Amino acid sequence: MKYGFCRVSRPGLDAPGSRVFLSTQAYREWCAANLPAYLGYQPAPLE
Amino acid sequence: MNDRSPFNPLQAQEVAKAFAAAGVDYLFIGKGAAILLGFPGTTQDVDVFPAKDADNGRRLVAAVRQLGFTIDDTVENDIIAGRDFIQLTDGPFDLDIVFAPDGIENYAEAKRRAVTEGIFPVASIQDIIASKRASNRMKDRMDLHLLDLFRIEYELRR
Repeated sequence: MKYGFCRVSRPGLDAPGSRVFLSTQAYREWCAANLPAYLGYQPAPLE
Repeated sequence: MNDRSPFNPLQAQEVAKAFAAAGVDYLFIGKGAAILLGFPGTTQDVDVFPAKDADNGRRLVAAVRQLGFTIDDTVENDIIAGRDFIQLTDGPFDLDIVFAPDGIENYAEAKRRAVTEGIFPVASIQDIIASKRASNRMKDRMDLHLLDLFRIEYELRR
């Protein structure tokens, strides 16, 4: 991998426009509610 | 010995040059930061952890505009106000501005522990891992074991 930063499709995250969250927790909740699980932004299950 | 090019993180270089020119006080954080320290991974976006003060926010706005991001007045004010998490997608790449990363108490402490790799101010590997552990997302869980192993090697060679 030459650049370390790659461009792939990420449904939801690729939607145009900036997103501003008043707390990091709000961002986590938005990710959990709006992004497909396979992107990995959902909370991890308890170990 | 081979003739391959050295690691060349162009997006991070663009950020570092623009932020330095504007005088932004910040650190790279997240998986991109780990990559800058030598972790052999990939990521889609660049995460930065800026100092939270209005003047730094204004410099940050100037820098991201210089990079080609479109920022309206509302988002400009949000950056200057230091809203916890700002995700910019209207630009040449995805840029997350994280004023309050999980697992890190404050910017001053993170800056004290940070390292400089070439032109890159980078959060410490300890803080990168702590932040990923605290965020507790599935993708972070998958990375954490390898990051912990990388940390051992990284600290041995420093």
